[in-house]
Amino acid sequence: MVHFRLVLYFLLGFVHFLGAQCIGPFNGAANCDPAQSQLSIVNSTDVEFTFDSFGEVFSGIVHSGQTILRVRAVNNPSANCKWNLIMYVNNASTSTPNTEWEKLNGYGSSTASSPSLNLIQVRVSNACGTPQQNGIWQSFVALNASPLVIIQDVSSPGLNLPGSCNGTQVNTAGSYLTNYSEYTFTIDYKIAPGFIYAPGRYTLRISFCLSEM
Amino acid sequence: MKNLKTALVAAAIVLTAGASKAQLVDEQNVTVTMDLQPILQLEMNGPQNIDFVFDNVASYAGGITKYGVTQLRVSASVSWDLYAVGYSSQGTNMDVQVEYGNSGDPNAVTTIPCTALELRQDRANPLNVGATAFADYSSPFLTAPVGENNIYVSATPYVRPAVSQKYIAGGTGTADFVGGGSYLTTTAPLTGAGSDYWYTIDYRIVPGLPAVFPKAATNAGVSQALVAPNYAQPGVYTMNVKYVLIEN
Repeated sequence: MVHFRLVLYFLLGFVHFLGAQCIGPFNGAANCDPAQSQLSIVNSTDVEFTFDSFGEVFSGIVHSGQTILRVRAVNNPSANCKWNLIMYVNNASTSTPNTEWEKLNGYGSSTASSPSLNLIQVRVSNACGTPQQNGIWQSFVALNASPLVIIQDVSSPGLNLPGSCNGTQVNTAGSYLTNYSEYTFTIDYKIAPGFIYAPGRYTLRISFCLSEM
Repeated sequence: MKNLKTALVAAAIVLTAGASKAQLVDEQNVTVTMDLQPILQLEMNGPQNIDFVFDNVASYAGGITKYGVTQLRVSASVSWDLYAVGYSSQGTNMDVQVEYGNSGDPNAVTTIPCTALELRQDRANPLNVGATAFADYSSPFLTAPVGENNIYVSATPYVRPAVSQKYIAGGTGTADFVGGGSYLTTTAPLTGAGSDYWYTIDYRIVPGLPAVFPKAATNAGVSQALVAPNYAQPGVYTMNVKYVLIEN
């Protein structure tokens, strides 16, 4: 029984240290309860763009509301949790240049280049307009791990409480269950490839990172 | 053994204590997949059947020219070439549908070469520097050298023409092509019908009198006219013209 407990303790601790691969930012504070706080995606985590007509290639395709993010942040006792939320891009491949999409397969004989990571555009919004760039199309810098900020109030103390629904970057304890329009984020995606890239099937990963400030 | 257990318990306590005071970090991932398919879109505006009816001496001697019958419009997401090819079920001579009369004259033959059909495109091929003979169909009918406007003929129409043959746009070489784009998106001053993505085609057939089709020739300028005393048997002849858009 003692041995079982030891193994369990080790597993719990080890799993926590391995944890997620968020790129931050972090400042060392521990005011949020990581066990009860959570970032979740409620719909599919696969976004598929198929360009098979000229109009789509030229004008692009928009997938609206393809990702719905929900945040729940819980204070540690007698502490004020302050969090930030970012998204970053990654081609998830060591064999692909760190500025391009990962090529899964090529079509035809084109010798044109693969698309760069800044081809995809994202638009983040919620009903209260809390994201830093609410409702604005943005592109990543064409480099692995390039971030885009969703919520990040760097002012001190910068504790923005929920409930006002006035466009402030709400970043304190709360939940989508009690303040849906301030703790829920809708992500739209857009790609307009044009005629310069080699036909093929490509992929990349977009990561959403909730971390404590 | 007891010391080992104590050490393990201590280590576990340290790890779990770290967990209880850890920062909030959580991550979710979305995979984005883009299927970028090659698009080659050729629109042909104009009649599917073009009739040349030769029923008087003037039409035999001077031929019949039909202007602006076919408009070809291209939209493509990749670099492309466009060529015209004439052929029939017999290969490179026109199909005989009906013969008129019953002359029994051994000099009245039905082997009219498909190269009797001449084309003219309204604007020059944008890029075919690798061509070893005539590069396109852009010369006026009246001034074109022998062979320049005669349609490329092949019994295998989907095989890309050789470097010695004509293209409407682009060419055999990998450096001869038109880049991806569309007549819909070109900008001034080369918009729409004035762009490299839109071609208007004229047609001409000159039977001659007697009907030996004196203009028929290969792209090298070698005449394919019927040799006197032969002449074309009156009748209905058909051939197929394909416009083929192909990735460079």
